[in-house]
Amino acid sequence: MAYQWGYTPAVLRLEPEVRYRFRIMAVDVAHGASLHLGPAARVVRLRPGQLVEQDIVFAQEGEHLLYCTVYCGLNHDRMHGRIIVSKAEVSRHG
Amino acid sequence: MGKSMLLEGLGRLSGQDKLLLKLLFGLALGALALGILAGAGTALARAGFIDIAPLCGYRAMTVHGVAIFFYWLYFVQAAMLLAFSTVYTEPNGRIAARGFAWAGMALMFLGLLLNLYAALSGLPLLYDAPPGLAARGAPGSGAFYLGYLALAAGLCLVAVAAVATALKPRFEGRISEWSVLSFANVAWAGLLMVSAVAAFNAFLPAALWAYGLVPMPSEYSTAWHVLFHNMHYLPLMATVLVWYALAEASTGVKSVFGTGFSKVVFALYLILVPPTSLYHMFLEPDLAESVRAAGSLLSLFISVPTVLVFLVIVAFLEVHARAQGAQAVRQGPRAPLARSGHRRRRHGGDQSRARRCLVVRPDPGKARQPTVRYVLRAGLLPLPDGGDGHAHVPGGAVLRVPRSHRPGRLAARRAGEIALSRHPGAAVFRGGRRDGRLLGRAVADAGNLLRRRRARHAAHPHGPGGGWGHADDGSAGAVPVRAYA
Repeated sequence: MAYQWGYTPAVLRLEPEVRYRFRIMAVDVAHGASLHLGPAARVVRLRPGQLVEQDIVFAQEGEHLLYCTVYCGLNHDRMHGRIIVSKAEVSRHG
Repeated sequence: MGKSMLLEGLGRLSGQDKLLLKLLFGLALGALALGILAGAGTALARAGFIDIAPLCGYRAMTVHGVAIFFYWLYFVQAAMLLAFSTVYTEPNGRIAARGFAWAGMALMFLGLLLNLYAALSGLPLLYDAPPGLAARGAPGSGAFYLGYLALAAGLCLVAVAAVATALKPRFEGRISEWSVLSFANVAWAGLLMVSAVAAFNAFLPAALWAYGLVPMPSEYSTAWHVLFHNMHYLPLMATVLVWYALAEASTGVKSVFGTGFSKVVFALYLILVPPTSLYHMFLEPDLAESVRAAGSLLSLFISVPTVLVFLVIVAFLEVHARAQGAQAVRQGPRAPLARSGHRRRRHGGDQSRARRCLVVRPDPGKARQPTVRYVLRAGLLPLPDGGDGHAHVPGGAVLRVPRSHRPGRLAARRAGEIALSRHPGAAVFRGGRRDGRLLGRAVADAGNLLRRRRARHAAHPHGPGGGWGHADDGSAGAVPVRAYA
């Protein structure tokens, strides 16, 4: 979920080379989501109350940034989350 | 000629027209300065050089966006549109429908004040002002949309005044056709009107919502992107138009493809820009794949008019440079190609090359002056327009026309240029002006003339004029021609 001004969950722990289906929705005003995939990024616009689905495979291990790309209010620039891609992280956190 | 036409045309404007243009340019520069100031503040805050609260920072960013992307660009376009329409349509032009132009400027200025008030009160909305962030019923929200609506209405009025300025001389029979720049101005004004309609489409529902009259518009984002696409291609067209005008003004040369081609190219902006806005919506998650495909295909066309204008300008600069003696634009003017051939021929060099060239001395009655050479490689030859109905060619000027590069028309297409006949061996002469066009005269059988000249030169190698003389054999009429061999 995207809301003013963060994402829930704020931190995602995922495995590399696994296809994940992201279901994202803005719950208050319009937001955006830029998912960094190594050198590139996947960017989507999120309209309030509209579910968006994206299939994504993270090829690289590491910490990936997720941030809002649509101005959504005074703390827009602080609206971000993290996606940690690591086999070790996933096994450690079950 | 173009330079003097622009500057002299601006100088001949009436006091009211000058005042209007000065105010429009002044407002444009004021909006630019404001936008730069607010943008610099935003950049300094982002870089950590100054510490300001987010509310203040986003207000500065809103002022920056509104001032630069809307009011600077639209004020300066309004000023240039009116100036070009007035100057390039007819000599001694006047702004027609002047009341519309003044009302348009007043509405645009009102829009600026409303938008600045809105940007500095309430929650900053940035320049796209999504209703989802705006507070319904707050004075600032309504003022934001009303400001944009006033701007759109003002733009529409200015565009109407510009079109009327271009149309009036035609309706009253003072001109028979538009110049390329007049035509492009009308296309540009049309695009401004399209943008004004797109602005109404986006902001009118939002304004009504802000005052509690209708539900929140559901497609505001799409309407904004359609407007945004048009508004940022308008300055591109304006830039290209200025580029075209300056290229003509600085060289005195017109397009070698003719005015019709340039008019088609400028009309393409009006045809291709509005429908190509689809690609701004590619990030929308619910956009159908077929729309994405269509948008991708359409986006291929967006640069076509600009590339074609580039072709036209580079081509006429190339021809101009070659006419001055350069081999290509990158070389710049230098000693004409004719000189090397001239030297060879003087020393008994390549005679076959000499036979393919004709040399014309336009004013043999005068004492020989320092030679000015024009080399026509292809297309039209630029000659300086004396402004008194004649192309003034200095005495002793030499016009060399390689036979393989003769264009197809005899009459000049416009002042400052003289085209040549395709007749075998035809030569040129100086031209007069009829119906506003420079006309040239050609020697019908210059090849034959050339042979006779060579024969006479062989018989009297030290004749008068160092080998120069008049065509007195009837084939050239009274045209003073001397074939060089």
